[in-house]
Amino acid sequence: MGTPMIEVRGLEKTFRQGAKEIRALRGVDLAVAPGRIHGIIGQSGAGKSTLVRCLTLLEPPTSGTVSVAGKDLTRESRSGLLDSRRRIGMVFQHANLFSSRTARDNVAYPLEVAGGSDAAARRARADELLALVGLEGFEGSYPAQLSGGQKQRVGIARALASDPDVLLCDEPTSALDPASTEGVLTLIEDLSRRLGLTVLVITHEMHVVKRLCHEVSLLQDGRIVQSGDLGDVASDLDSPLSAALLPLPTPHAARDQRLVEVLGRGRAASLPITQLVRDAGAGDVEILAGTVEDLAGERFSHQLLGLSATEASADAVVARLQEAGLTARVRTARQAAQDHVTADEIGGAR
Amino acid sequence: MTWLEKLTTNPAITEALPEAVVETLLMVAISGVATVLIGGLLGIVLHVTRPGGLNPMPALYTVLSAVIVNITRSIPYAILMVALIPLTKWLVGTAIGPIAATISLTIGTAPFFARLVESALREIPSGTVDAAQVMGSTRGQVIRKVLLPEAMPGLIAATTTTLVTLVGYSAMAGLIGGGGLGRLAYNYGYQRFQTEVMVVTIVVIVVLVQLIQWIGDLLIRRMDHR
Repeated sequence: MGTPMIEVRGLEKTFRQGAKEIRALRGVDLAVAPGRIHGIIGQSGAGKSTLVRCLTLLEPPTSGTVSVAGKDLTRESRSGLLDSRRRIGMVFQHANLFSSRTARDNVAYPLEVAGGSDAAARRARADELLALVGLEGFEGSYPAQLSGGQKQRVGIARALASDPDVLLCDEPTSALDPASTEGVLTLIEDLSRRLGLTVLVITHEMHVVKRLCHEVSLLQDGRIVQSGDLGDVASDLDSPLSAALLPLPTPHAARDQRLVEVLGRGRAASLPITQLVRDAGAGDVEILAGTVEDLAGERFSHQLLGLSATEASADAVVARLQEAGLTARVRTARQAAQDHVTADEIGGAR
Repeated sequence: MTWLEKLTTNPAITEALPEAVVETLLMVAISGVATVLIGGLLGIVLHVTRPGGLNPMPALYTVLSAVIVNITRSIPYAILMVALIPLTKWLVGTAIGPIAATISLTIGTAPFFARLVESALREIPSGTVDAAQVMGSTRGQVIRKVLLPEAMPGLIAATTTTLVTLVGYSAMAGLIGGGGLGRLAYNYGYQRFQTEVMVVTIVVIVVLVQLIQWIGDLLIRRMDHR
């Protein structure tokens, strides 16, 4: 995948509270190629906030390295770190705008602290960026006069002011209503494509990952437990992320039914599954739960079938489905219920 | 003589009062500027060096916070101004007059103002400072371009409160030779039983305090965009 734009190696962070040690990060490894949008999903307490703070060195890591565009931030001098930070644009959950500055002056701030530009040039650049995020006419507004979605757009414009290589988004839409969320996600996607930005999105919302990301990592207990391209992790039935990306409602299976879980990717997602099952001679088939989603431009189908058949014929059904290009496995009712719990824990079942 | 005639003829009012007003304004203005500069700096240093601050320095913070600010603040001003007479004499050459009074006024109010500045700065959400740091700001830039402008409404409120306190303290300082409205009220209103002088002095002080508060509130309204 070439030289990664963001590379994190063995990142650890331990907090001491008196005699107690809290290991917030237990060795995080991560690599994001230029121009990719990478999502890190994790629930509260997984270490998301600490990871964000360590990536920008707001919190010095206990050990490990953080490299952006080939530069190791952990080895930079104080002034080198300030320069490197300007290569990273950061978008916060609550925008964190300066309330005493207008939208324009907020966006101009990174240019102001970097020096080397006059006020007129900064003003022109700020207005240009505000237009880029769709906020023409709001240049003179103070943050308190803007809606949540508008504030976040100003935050994004401000993050772009120093012309960064990387956009780091910390829960960018968690404080927004659904309509603003969609607007902000579209904007980030659009900017990434147009400016060739590498984007790292840290979130607890699976829909943000589904809607925006090319690749995803699952952060649990300070470790990344699964990572990969969205389509690849989704099609791995054994993985927790698959259960969360393609969540099924809790199945209600009859006691004598055999359960078969089947997943289709791309063209296989449109195969006539009931027909295939009947071809295998398994008799009646009931679709207990199912979902169809488009992830990273590919179609995925995920279904749980109930067969009134013997164990042997269930195996035959699985074989037939796999032959047709689908992924399939026999599942017990308890396992299917557990998948639902897993998806729920990661934030996928909502 | 009617009350109204007394008001217009009593030299304590027609001659001594304007002089006393000037003295009071002089005391409040000089010690006000000195307090804002010294106390303001102290407040910023307290905020920056506190544990978890922009540049934590636990030893310095403890010394400034516990020793200087808290000890100074716990001494009642009436005692402080008398205790500081030797220092005042050494610094100004005399312990009498409005200029001499500004020494004890400044020492009496600067730590108080420092605490107000510290708490105004603490009100700024930590995310705002994080954002400034992530954008590559130096610590000096964070203080000048983010902390102080963001806290400006709080800082002006703190200045207003401090100036009002100074008006009160300056009246006390007047009693031991500072001059101003405090001495006028004491000498004429109290010792010579000239009630009209007492009443006029009180009215002038009330108007002065109202004026300071009104200007302060006006500035805060202008600057507060939160």
